[in-house]
Amino acid sequence: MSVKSRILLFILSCFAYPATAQLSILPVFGDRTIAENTWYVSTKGDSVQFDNIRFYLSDMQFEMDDKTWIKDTVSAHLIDVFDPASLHITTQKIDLKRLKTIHFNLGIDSLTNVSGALGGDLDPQKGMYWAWQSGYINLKIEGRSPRCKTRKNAFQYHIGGYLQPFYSMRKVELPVKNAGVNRNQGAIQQGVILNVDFSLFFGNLSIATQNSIMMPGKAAMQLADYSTSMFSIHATKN
Amino acid sequence: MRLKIKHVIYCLFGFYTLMIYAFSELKTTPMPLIIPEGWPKPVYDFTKNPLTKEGFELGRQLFYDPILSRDSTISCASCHLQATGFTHVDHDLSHGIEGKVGTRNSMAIMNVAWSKNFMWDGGVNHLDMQPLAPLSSSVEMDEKLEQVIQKLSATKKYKKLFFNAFNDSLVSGQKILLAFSQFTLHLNSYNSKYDKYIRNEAGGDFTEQEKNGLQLFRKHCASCHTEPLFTNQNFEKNGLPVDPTLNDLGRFSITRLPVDSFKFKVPTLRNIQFTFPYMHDGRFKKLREVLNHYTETAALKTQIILSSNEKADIIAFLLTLTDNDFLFDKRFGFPRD
Repeated sequence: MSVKSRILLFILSCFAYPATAQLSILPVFGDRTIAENTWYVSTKGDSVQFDNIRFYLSDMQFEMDDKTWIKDTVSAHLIDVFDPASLHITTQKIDLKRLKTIHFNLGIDSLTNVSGALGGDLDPQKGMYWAWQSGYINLKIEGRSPRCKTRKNAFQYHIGGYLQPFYSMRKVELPVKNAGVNRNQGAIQQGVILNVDFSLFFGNLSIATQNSIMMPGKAAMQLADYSTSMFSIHATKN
Repeated sequence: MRLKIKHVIYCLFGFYTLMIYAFSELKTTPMPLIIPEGWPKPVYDFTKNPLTKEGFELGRQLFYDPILSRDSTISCASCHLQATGFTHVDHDLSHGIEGKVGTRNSMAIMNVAWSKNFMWDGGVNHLDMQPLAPLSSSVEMDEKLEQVIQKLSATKKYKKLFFNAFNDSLVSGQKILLAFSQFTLHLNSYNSKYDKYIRNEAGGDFTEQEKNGLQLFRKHCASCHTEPLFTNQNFEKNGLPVDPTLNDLGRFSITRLPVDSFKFKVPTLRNIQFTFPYMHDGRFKKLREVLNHYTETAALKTQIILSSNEKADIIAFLLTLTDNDFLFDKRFGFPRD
């Protein structure tokens, strides 16, 4: 970021500061928060451990109960489950009591995929971009399971692809009303809590046979379908 | 309340600083692309990356710098030499780091502003993203973009060059890629004898043989190698038997569409005199072999029939696509400072 834009951002943040809301991402595996070097057991009985989980949330929009829509000012957020700073997204002020539905894309849309060198979270230096077959990786899950008869028992899912028929970005729509109880009460004071439950992803998967999916195609499309089920709104607070 | 006063003071201070910056002069010098008369509109969107002298200079330094490779031995120019139309001459398959050999012949870099996609299989969808492929390939530069950023950030030279080009010395992946495009976009060849013939300029007098070659070329070759770029930018199956040591499926490996099996990008023919060996796997050393393939294969929609003399005429014409202004333009060469 240039000096000029940093100063501009600073000035803007002076005015914008009181008018922001937080969207917090809570990565869990069933009823446990995801941490490094920790074993989890899937509903299929597979033990899994995670080294790297990253994904893009893009084109976030807030649908209010009066049918107005508020668009997030940032086009894409790179969420890194093991980087706490990335788990809190600051958006513009929204009246949480009137928030009806949250819309976002899991991954990056096809237009952005063909737009050349982009910056910020979309900079290829973030390691979420394929070199030999251009395109963003929408979701990356890497870890280990004794069930995988691979080197170091590793599994790796790099889900991406922007060309039909293997366009792997997924639209997610989450109604805010009738949200459940916040498991992490007290930890997050304000805003929307977006629960991402990876046990739902692994509940669909046969990791013994499906343990390395690293390019666009049918398999990636199937995993992309599984991945949308992970998201839910767990609580909102004002 | 105290917080608010503090905010106001910071705001004023910030605003003041911003004003100083706003009125300080941007030092970049515009260096727009020259678009030859009669050429189509470039595909590249210059509004997102306005070309400047400083951006070009940064891109040029990067292009010739082996710092990009894992062990600082390979630069872009290792496989893309100016004197041979920015390709790797005399190797069927190009080689990279530690002498490792790839699976294809390096492509020439020319007139890239008009290309929709890149590589023999079109796997790269935008000029900006092209450098990532050789950079990360384990048989080319075998390096990570994050590492390149670190290495460049540690040098005074690049901090200065990035500041000159982007008014900000902070190195990022985006800036590296934009700078590469700034350089390669200028690698344009449009001053060959053929161009001068088309423009009715001095030095463009075709012999009878070259004229006949052009006629034959337009009849038999131009549907794929379309003027003025000498490529239709498509992927075509040209009937080459598959090399069983490579089993290269071409465009299929990107689209996964059976119809794209063994299709490869139609390359430009500009400066073809020097870009040998030919084809995606460099299997032909001489233009005559290429023409023999096209008259012998049964895989084309219409059989090409050429006499030996006609082949000689076409080759005479192809040699008029040599552009010495381009091949020896000092601005594109190794930066000696």
